[in-house]
Amino acid sequence: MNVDDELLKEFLIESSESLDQLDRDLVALEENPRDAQRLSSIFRTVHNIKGICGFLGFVKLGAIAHSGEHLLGKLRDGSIDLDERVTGALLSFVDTVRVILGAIERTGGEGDGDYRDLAQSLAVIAEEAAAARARGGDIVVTRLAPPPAAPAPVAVAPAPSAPPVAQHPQSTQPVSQPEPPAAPDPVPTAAPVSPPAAAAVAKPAGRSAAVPVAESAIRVDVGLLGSLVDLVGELVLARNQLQATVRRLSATAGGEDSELLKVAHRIDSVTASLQSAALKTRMQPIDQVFNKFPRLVRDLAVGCGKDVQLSIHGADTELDRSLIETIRDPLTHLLRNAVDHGIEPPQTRVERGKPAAGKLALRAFHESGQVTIEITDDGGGIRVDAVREKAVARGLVSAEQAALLSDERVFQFIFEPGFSTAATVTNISGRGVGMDVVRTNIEAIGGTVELDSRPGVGTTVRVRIPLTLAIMPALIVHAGGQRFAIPQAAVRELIALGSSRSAAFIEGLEGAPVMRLRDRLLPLVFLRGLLAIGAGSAVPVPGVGAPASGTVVVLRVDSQEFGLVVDGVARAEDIVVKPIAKVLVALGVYAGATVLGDGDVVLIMDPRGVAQAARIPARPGDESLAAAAPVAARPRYLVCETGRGRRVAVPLEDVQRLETFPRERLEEAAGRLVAHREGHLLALADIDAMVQGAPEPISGPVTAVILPPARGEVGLRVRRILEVVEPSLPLDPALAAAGLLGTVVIEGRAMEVLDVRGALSSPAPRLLAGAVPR
Amino acid sequence: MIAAADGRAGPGGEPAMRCCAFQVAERWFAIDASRITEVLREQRTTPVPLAHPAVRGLLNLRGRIVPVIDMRTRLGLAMATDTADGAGRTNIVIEVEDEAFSLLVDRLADVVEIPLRSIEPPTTADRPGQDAIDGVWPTRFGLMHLLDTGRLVAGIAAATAERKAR
Repeated sequence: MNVDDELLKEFLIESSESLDQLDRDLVALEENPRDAQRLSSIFRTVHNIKGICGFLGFVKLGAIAHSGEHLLGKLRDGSIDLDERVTGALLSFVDTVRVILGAIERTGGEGDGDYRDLAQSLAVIAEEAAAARARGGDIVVTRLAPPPAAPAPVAVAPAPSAPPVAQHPQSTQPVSQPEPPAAPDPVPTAAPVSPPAAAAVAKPAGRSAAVPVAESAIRVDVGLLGSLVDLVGELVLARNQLQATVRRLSATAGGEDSELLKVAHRIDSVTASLQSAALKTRMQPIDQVFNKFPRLVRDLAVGCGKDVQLSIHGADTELDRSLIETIRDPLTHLLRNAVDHGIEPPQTRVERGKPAAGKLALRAFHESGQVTIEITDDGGGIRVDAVREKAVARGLVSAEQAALLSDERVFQFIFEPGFSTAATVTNISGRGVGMDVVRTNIEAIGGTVELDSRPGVGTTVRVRIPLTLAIMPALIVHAGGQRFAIPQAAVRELIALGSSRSAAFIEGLEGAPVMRLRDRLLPLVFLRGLLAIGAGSAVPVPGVGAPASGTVVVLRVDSQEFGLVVDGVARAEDIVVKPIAKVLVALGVYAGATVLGDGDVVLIMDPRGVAQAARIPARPGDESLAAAAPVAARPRYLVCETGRGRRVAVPLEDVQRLETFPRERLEEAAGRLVAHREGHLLALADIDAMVQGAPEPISGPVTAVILPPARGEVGLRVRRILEVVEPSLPLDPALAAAGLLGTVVIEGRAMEVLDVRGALSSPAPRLLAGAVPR
Repeated sequence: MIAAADGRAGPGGEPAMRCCAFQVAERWFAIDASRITEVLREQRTTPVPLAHPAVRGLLNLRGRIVPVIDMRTRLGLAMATDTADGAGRTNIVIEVEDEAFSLLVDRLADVVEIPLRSIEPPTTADRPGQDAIDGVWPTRFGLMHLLDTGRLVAGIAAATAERKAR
């Protein structure tokens, strides 16, 4: 490859990213025309493209870029104002540059399209606008009028000979076509696999500078990355087995510092680093899809004569790259539906007492080990009765059955194939064009789609997709002699039963076991009972047969919170989620399976499925937006018992997780107690030593409260975890002392609160110094 | 479907089907050999609560999670005394619609060429668990039952769906 080829490749990769950024910047600029910084950034980007064109000898592209730069220059020096016509022209300009770049990428040449019209119209707009301004005339086109130079809908891989650019304003097609959305990327098949470092982390401001992105980016086949991740997953399991074997061997041989042990440690840590690096290659922020949407929605809105404000939340939510590609089309389709059918025309909205501009919100967040994406509009909504009638008319249900169905269930009919032809959709003011395709695509990757709507208020479509390909933090529990994994994302807290106090908290409410947790009643599900395993599988009689021991795993799914009673919690572990046969998924309570370090297969529970199987009622009056999980107004504390039997409270915000280390994973190093954990050494501090007094000698497994990484890789050694409390009175700092923040009153008793941060940030960490077991 | 199976010439030049024969509860069965991906000894499995009784558990096949179908239960041939247990049964791993399943059988026999002409319609299709029998082939050891792998799995899926609906 010669120097020119290198430069060309670099240019193509960089330009394609720059153009995406231009799209976003232009739409943003339309919202805020006075953003001089953004305007400068746009100008620089175009200027760079022009410069490189001259160097590489791309005459047409150079000419177009020059016209664009000229228009932008007028904008920048303030001689014209940004209005819809100018924005439209600039967006057309971006599209044309894309088309030409696509041609260059495919053929090496600029194609035989003739773009002089566009160059000219850009120049004309620049001059006219300047002239109009000089006259003091009003050139501001109202937002809703079809712009003279509105861009054509982004076409499928436009042929270079037929530029889809709006050379003739009247040729603008209706944007609301019912067919599946076109891929907006004019560079077919060979879209660059931008590593997160280049694509995600780079800030818009830095993007326009001529940093050669291609130097730090290579193209890698996604399938290859997939098999790499799979192999690393296998390596992790083999590593775990190796560790177990080495421990056994060294225990019998008695050689503590054998070569074997050292090599095993080395393999251990390298594997852990390799695993996290391999996974990162596949994880991408959802922004990869979302970043095309401002432009899409803007074009759709203009095309439909609507005014739509799109807000995007959670664009940094990461998910597997292959899933990103799969959700692109369904999401595009849902947005199209929302703009086209959901949001009313401005006039209608005003008549209905709503703001003229419709609101469209796109949210992404992690929930229960899944990624949830919500598309919410404040449009006309869907009349559930209309859907019900339609379902009866189409013979999907009888009238009697339909009357009994919940609204939620009725809305599911919208996803039935052919449920809504274009005509009927308009009748029910809504959705349905191709919704079955959306559902099929989402379900193909193991996801779900739900729709919720209220007439006149709006519609929310909720897409949930699993992280099947990802590594997931999970809690390993046991029940009925078997182990199960529970996704950590759904776990809110753990409550140990067994103390006589907590057992009394299990009561009956109309026959269903519940537990009084702080100020509310928590429905309980007994895992043994649910799965019909182990002895005493029957659900105990409330209030009488409450189990004498066990742990309540408090799970939150959507707006529901419930307690899953298990026999015990083994530990937290990062697991590789493996798919299970469809016939087992159909049972509804398993999300998959995983292989633990000892080679055993363990089923992963699906918290949502468990809630459904146990018929946990949704909490009334709860916000449906689980995204806005309510932040506890009052601080909560984890109450632990130390080795010396003293009870202390740790602020829950300082706790990452709880973990128990077997004796063989504990070691004294440099006078400190450390635990081996996935290739790392974790320092364990003793709470007694932190406050005052000597730590308890180690005799068996050690339970530790692991602090978030921001507090240093440290665990606090405790004897027992007792409960999580939410005291009604605030912390009283009057009794603050060495290592203590103060006291809180819990059920009438004062309890010391550990000053975790203070102790860890002191120059010679007191709590580490005291961690030596004697 | 045996009729749709890839007919190939047997020893006598007539169309035949290559099958793998095995024993379950002292009866003979056979499946299309091309479905088989590998054969393993009986392995430790993880039970799947609530699953169809024939799903004995999950097997870790080099990182792939494979459900093990106990063919005695699946074919409704549970023996009064579980004599063969511990003596080591055999897992026949098959591929059905891109998913792997393992059939746990008592004893694996040979690969046999079954002449399509001599396959007769099943006689025991009405017996519970034997919905997957596609045909029979009389041999000198007794009747060889030809099984359809797709229906072996589909029968379990159908029973699961039915129980869930109730």
